Amino acid sequence: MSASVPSQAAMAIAILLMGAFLAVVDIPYILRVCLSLLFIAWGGWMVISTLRSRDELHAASTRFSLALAAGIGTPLSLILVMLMTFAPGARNAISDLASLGADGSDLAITGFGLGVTFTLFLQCSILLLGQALWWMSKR
Amino acid sequence: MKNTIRVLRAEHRWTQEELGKRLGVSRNSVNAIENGKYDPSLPLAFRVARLFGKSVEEVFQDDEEQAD
Repeated sequence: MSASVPSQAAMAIAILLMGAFLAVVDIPYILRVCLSLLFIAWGGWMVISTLRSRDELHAASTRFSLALAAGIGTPLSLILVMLMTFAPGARNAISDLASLGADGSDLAITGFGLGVTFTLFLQCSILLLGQALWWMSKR
Repeated sequence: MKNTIRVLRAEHRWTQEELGKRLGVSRNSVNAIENGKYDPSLPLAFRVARLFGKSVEEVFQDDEEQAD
């Protein structure tokens, strides 16, 4: 069984929600690790089953979108994080946002979490955009 | 690459959805192959040909070969 495009979109959204859940909710560390591993295993299964799918067009669209997310999404998110960190206006906004979410915990850790979430969001968005572009080109 | 899938499918009175189920691919995949937007791999081309009881050459035609 392979992951269809809607289930890949659901996976991308679930990754973001799970990331937010793990960042916000205070749970025992071991449970946090177990949930993360479970999530990685699920995501891995979704991707591998799609790449080995009998439906080779779905496999091709997934290969294309993964390449787009890795090839463009990663450098783009790194550049944007760097630009936002050093842009005067954005820097203050990020700092304010981090202090809102910090709520007694370390500001640097909250800031780091924000950066990771932003990177994930951008990569998941480009992954979905890649899927949409690939299928549009085959219409 | 051109193909006669649309004609063969019509002869069998199958919808794209039905053909997709028989081939183990989605309706979108059938549509892309039918319209010549995607050239299937050899295993899938053989699956299509076998399903219609034809040879691969009868279902799929190379554009360059036709021009010659």
